[in-house]
Amino acid sequence: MRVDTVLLESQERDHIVRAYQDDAALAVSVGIYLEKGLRDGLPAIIIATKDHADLFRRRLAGAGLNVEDLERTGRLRVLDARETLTSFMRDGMPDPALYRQTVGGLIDETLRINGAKILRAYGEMVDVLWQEGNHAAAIRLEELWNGLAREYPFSLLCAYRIDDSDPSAYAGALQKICAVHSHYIPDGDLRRREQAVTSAGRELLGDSFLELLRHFAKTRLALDTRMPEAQAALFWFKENMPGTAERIFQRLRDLSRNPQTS
Amino acid sequence: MTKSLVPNPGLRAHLVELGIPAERHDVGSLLGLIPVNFTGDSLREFDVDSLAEGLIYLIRSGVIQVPMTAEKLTAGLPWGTHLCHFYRRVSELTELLVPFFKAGLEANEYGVWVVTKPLTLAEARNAMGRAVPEKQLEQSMEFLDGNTWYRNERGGVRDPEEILRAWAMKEAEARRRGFNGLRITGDVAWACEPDLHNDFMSYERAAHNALPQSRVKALCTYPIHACQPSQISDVVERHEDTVVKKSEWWHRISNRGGTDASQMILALKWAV
Repeated sequence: MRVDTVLLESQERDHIVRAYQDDAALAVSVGIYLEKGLRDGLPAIIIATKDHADLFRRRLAGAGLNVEDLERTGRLRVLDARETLTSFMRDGMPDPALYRQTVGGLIDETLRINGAKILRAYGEMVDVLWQEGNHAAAIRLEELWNGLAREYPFSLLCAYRIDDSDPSAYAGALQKICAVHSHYIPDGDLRRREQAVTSAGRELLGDSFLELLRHFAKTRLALDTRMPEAQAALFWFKENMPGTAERIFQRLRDLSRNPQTS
Repeated sequence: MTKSLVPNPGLRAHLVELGIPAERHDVGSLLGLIPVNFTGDSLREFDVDSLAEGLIYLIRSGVIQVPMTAEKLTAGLPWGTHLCHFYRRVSELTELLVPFFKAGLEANEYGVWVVTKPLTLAEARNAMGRAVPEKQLEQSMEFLDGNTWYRNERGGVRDPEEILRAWAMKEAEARRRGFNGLRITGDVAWACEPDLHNDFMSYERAAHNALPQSRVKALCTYPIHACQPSQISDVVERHEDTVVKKSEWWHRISNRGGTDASQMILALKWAV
């Protein structure tokens, strides 16, 4: 799976999640995704924190798009994540009817006023809930987005501030997030991730055994979510060979600290 | 830090639980127990914990059974069994097939060994003669020429239905004579020749469909060096499980996830 292709060629009902720790790196992904849609004439929606929304606006403007004009004409709708959450959160959980009214109404209206057949949305209300520790509400909200995708034609990109090079993230959190998404984009340099799996795996297991086990990582991964091969290998090793996975994660951390290490 | 020679205690407990005794937990033994070709990695210092984890995964997930002796592998097979064996050396044929037929004779099953080059009828018969009394061999087993049994007068593969009818007649005859059923093997060294492969695979498919309704146990043997990767996949898809030998161990690899089994055979192909 090529990350840029997933973002650029995103289709109706795609529900992509991107892990991030660095706001600038997130802005690159969101920029690629939204810029392509807007240049293709599709309307777009951003539901983000204020800081992130401003960052994405600057990114799109830097790419040569007239953001002010897009917002003025309703081609680009930018909403505050926290304010939007308050409109449908009740007792710490999203209320399905209110959610549908708020977010479904927004999508419906955006499609209608632009005469569009599909739109691209970026949302980080789930990340706000996740960072507050309300994981159940975040996952429920993802399910509601998936429900909405059966009614309206849009693709959706989400983001979670989560360190996916930390093995503790694989104790259930990442699996829950992946289970409600069609595509997973890991944080950081993908080549480094591949290098960690390959170099540590070869040292520990030898070429042939690593190759065989990576075949199982491709064919027997419990998750249906599409993701780069090296990322699938990390999930698979963590689940099936946890001791080996720890060594691969250690290599990934070493490579992140010192990219010259092999 | 010096690398440990055996896995950590937790992994050792898992290995023992699976039936791999403590004296086989060193790196050398684990490399022998994993059905993968490590020869290209001979100078590498393997990590014994990772090897143990990988072996435990293969067994726990049902990809392979615990590596075993030929006697254990061929005992207690149910009716309808249809295994394929990929061999690298001709000696593997007698190492596997003699215990296979011996177990059958002990269970009052009639044996039919279909032989082709590189093994000869005389070599197959002599190998069995060293393992069971001559009289039992004469009454309970026969040795057939594979070129006559499987191929027609034009050198092609006989019609699959015709071969299956011949097997059914053998089975009926054995039952009539008081045997519980039939235990058969066919070595088809030529089955991966390009102009014979597809036709022989049609026969294997028909046999695979027919065997579950029969009182027959079949083990088909193929020389791995004569088979292309796609042909290995074809063979694997048409058998219940695959048998291979690596070092002193026999491995039974599940064919349920067809590509997994093929991948394993390829990972093993040049192992010594």
